[in-house]
Amino acid sequence: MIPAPQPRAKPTLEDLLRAKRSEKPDAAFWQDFERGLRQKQLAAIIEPRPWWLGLSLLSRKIGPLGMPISAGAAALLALVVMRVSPVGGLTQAVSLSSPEPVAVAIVTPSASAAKVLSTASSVAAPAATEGAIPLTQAVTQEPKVASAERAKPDQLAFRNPSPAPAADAVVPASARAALPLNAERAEIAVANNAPASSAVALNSATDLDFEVLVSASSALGPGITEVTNSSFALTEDDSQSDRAGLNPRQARLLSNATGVAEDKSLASVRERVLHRLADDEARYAVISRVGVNADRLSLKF
Amino acid sequence: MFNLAKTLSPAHADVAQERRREADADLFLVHRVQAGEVDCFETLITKYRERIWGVIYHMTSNREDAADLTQDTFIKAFQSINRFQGQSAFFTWLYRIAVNATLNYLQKAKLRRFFSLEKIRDEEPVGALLDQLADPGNTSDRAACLNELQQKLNEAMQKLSIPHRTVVTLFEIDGLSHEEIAEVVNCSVGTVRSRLHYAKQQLQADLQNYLNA
Repeated sequence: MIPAPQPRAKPTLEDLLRAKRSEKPDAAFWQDFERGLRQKQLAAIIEPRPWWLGLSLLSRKIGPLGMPISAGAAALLALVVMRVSPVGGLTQAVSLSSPEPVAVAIVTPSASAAKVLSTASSVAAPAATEGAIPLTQAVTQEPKVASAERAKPDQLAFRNPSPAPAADAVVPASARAALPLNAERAEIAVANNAPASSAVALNSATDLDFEVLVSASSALGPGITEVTNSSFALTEDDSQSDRAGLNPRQARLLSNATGVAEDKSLASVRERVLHRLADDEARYAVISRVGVNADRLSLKF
Repeated sequence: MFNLAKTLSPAHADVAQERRREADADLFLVHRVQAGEVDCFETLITKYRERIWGVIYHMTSNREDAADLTQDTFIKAFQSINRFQGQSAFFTWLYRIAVNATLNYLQKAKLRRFFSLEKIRDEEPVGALLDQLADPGNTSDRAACLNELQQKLNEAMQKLSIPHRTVVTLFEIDGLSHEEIAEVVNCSVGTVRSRLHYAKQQLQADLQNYLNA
């Protein structure tokens, strides 16, 4: 007689789970695993960085170059703000009621960095030009037809027959080095009470400095450079300057600038300069150059 | 650092002591890796790769996915090794990385499921159990029975929710304590026990035709 088959025993859940623990791959699997892990490690090393990390690296690399760029951008932004600002900026001086719109050009020592603020400003609101006085400040005024005190254009002959130097003409270092020597000579001449020699010394002391003005001004345009004058000899006597209420130096400055000898013209130019400087005598006293070209007035401090 | 010896029975206390010694050895290796001896990380990989793979495999039921996730786990652990400060055991920290990676993967691949079965090694101590499951005289019948049981268990596991499957895997298959599981999955011990109880009930219900009552 054939015995009946025994019923198959059923495991418990714990038995099944314990059996599941033994599900393990063979050695070949782990070799593939090692290979894949190495590849992923290498891939992780050369994984491309996110774009924002690239930006930070770029900014770190161009740091020395980026600083002037950002400084230039800041300067440009400042100019824009000054132009559009309703209060306190240069445009604040722009007054529709102003009879004499003026273009202000500020010359910086570097010709390449010269920024022409072709902004109309009002003579009646001199705050636009107040503040830090630049090395050279050329003030150009538009013609005022009704102004009787203004000299006629044909009266404003240029003393300097030679054309202005090119914009890129920079005063050589040797000439700059000579300036202190010339100044010293001027002081000696003044101490010796010799009017002629002192005038010559003063002229020589300021000549090279004038060249700087010419070079810098030429970068601003022809209207500014033409008013400069390289010859600075005394052409007026003291009595004339006394009649105009000017000291000899100021008279010389004004006469060189205007090219006229009449008392009235000197006085009118003085009044014009003072008016431009808001009657600031202290600033007027430190003017080293004055140039007038028709409707344009150039001052150097 | 955890101290399981105070809360466990004497039998489990030995296991806890062993875990403690392992944790100290791991911490020593981790410190060396942090000091620049990256070769020491190879030792940690060799030590834990099977366990990590096992956890992931039993959660995903796919050996290739488990291999990829295990590799990702070790790479991530290596990249973050300097942030490991020893406030927990290294293997707990490593398990946490593995479980989180697996959970992310399962969330993304809900609709894409491919199961795979691994061979059960006969040399394992479950051999007696396997003899009990099938007729010892009929090897083909035994193998078929084993495959069928494996498949049914995998299907039942995949029916569990991801948190329940995680707890069952870590406790029943990988042998972690409730406290360790709580630390790995970042929940309370009570939640672990609750999930474990519910998951077993579900598995019993699904496999009732194949299990002893």
